Amino acid sequence: MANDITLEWSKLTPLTTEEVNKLNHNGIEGVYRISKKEIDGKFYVIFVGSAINFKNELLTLLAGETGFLKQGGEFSFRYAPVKGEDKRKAIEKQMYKQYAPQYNAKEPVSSLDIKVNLN
Amino acid sequence: MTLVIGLKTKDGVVIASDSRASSEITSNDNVQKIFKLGDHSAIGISGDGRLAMYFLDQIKPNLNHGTGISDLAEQVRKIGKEKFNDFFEHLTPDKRPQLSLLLIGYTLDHKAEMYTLCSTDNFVPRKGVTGFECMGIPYFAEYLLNRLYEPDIKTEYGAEMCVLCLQETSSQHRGVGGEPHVATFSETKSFQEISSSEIEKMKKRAEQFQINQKNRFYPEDPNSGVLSPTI
Repeated sequence: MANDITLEWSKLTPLTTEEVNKLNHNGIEGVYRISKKEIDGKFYVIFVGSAINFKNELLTLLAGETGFLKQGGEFSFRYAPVKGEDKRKAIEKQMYKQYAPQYNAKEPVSSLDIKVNLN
Repeated sequence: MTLVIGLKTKDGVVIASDSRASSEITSNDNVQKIFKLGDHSAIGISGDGRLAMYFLDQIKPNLNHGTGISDLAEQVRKIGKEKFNDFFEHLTPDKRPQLSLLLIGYTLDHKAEMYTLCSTDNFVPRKGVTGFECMGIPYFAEYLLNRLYEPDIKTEYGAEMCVLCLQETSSQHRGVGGEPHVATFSETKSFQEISSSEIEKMKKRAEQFQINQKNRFYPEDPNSGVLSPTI
């Protein structure tokens, strides 16, 4: 099935304050997902999100005293710039459905039905 | 169609079912399919629902609950065969409307047991050997229980496992649906149906279980993506 929108996704990037600070997307809207390296050496998505400023959101997650990042391990993230909350939420929902991330408390709500490439 | 599940646990038993009655065109999601027999025995029904209700009304007053579940199965067999021979004497058993029963309860020597009985073979009781039994649309539930069930599961988690099986089957087969009905009892605790608010919590946890494993099929591709993506 053809995608309604084609996104440009970033490379898989280590989720560290240093790497996130390198991002030149301060204030730019986007969707992102965080994955954790498992015993087989592969990264599996454990959290998906969207924000009007995803760089700040990632930095907030990294600075948090609690949360899934504190469990230890190797984390990565990738993101795609997306304008418009409706689109972001729809893409977040699509990612949620595909990756079934264990640290998203509930399914994102979106009335918009669009399909995008997730890689 | 229907899904009825019986499960033996470390400290009791669970009986559960969906609540959908469906015809070719319509469906109703408010049908009771599990029933208390004695304080420590229960029955689940699958098949021709209206016939099942009449059949239950007919046999319940004639059952002696004090002789253990294996004897209860024998009593149901005898009465069931007699009633069906009466109702459908013009049809051979394999041509008669199908009615399946799941009996669960305790033996006189304090063991939980389950029996399945089906009208198509004159209600010959079949004793469960795996610790769980599924009737109606059993395939998804049997798969899940084969993977997940261990005999030392506690009753509260056994109930939750049944809800998971009902949810998963409901998501794949339109003949199974409606609110799950789940009841538990033991040798010392009487038959008690779990409240709808508790069922709702179990459904939420079942949804969580369902999604936890899926990301294993979609690992991140380390080679995809660009250095500086743009809109």
